[in-house]
Amino acid sequence: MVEADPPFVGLNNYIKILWTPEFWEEVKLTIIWTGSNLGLIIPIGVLIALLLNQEYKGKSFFRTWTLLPWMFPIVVTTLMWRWMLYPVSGVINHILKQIGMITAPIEFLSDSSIAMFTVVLVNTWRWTPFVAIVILGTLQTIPKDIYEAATVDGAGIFQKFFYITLPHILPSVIINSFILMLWLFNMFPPIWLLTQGGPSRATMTLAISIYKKGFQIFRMSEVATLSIILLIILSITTWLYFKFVGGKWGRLND
Amino acid sequence: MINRDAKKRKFILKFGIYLGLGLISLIYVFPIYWVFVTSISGFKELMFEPPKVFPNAPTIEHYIYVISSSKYLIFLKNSLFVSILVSILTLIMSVCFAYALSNVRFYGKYFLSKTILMVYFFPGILLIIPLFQMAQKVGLYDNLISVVIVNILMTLPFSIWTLKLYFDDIPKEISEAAKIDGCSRFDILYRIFLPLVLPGLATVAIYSFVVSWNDYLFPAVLISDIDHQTLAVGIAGWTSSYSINWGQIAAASIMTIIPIVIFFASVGKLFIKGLTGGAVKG
Repeated sequence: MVEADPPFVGLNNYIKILWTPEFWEEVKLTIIWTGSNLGLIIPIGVLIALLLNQEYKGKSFFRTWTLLPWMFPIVVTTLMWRWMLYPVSGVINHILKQIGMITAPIEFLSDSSIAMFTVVLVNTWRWTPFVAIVILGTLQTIPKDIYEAATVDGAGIFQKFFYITLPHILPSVIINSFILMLWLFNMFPPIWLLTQGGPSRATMTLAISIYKKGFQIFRMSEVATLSIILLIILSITTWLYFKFVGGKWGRLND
Repeated sequence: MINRDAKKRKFILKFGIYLGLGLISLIYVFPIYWVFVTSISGFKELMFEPPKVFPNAPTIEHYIYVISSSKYLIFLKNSLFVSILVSILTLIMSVCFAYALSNVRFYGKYFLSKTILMVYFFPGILLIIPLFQMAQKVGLYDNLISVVIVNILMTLPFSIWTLKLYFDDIPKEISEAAKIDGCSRFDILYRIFLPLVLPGLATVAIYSFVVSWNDYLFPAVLISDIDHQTLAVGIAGWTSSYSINWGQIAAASIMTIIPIVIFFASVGKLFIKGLTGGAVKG
């Protein structure tokens, strides 16, 4: 797979890759993928955590079963969505048709204009519970008497949220967003199992591109170059994070 | 008047909470229910008839086929081998490592504890090429041991940090008292620390089991022979055959998640506590 005695080419591989439009297209898709996932997962996760933190019957039951989908093999949950999203025999198109929202079935995964959107939604479904449970853990460390004192002083629900809850969970939200961002940036299985980067490169993120080049067309040098570029991007991000965010709010530097 | 208003507001709040919880449950339970329905529907019903809430003629033909005529049991054996080995080895290694980080003074401790966290930041896809080539060079390519090793690499950082936080919370006086009473270092770890961090150990064991059980990328890259494949990659492989039989995939999926559901239903509370709380609190 690698030439027996590869010649030394200096930085040629990097120059070649940085000059191809496909590479920049992949960078753009990776940023769209990471950004839209984060934008959905974090707010929804916090919302679910707030909901789970209320007092109601069957608390521990709900908490346990919300995390369950995250424990299932990613292969199982992803394939199951692929089956449900089928245009003709899939149940989601069927339901949408029954309630009269659409007339013709939607090609969720083979229409290049919405494929990315679909993949992001499926991934959001999978990762939101994880964020919710972690934030829930932070919510439970907020002392109850602060809320009681605020109630006595006449604070409303929104005031309590913005002046007590949010400042308390912010460090945890920030550090989790950061870790999740790094994971999302490299995430491979959900996209691969749903679309394999298609249709016509509509979901071809850098991670998918690396796998495809490495194990389908066996261009190892290109893959190694891409990996190093990815590593540099992530290292810079991590360094910036520790320098500007981590120390202040992330509580990672103590 | 004020009292009635407050009651009304409380009612609306309660109603909202249950509505939200109901909606979330629906979104998370329905897909799993749907896999179950698919797994007990006949092939013709799945392909040529509109989807139904419950099949007209439930059948277990897919389950029988998957168990008797597919490679499901081979995949299962491989997956169990990998996951059990990974969770045992992760447990042993992370206990030693975390104990050292929390209770032993040595040079470069701070640097080391931050560096292992960095491994956690650069996962999966970046490592596949070097790991693939290394596995080929040392003769572990297409061998489940390589999958075990790589998975331990992935589970260790989280496990070490989880246990370290637990160990940090044990008062230093306890180990000092034990030392005066003549306990060796190993005795302190084995007799005093481990019983105190039981929830942490459970968290690490479940976490590493589930991560390796669900792992897709590494077996896909490191294993080529289908008889050495794990469940996740094996089942995914069925979708690339000429005609996809979703009933069989659904049946295999249900059988793959049942161990996790049982596992989680029995010790899940402990796991969530460990994941969210961390630390020895009564």
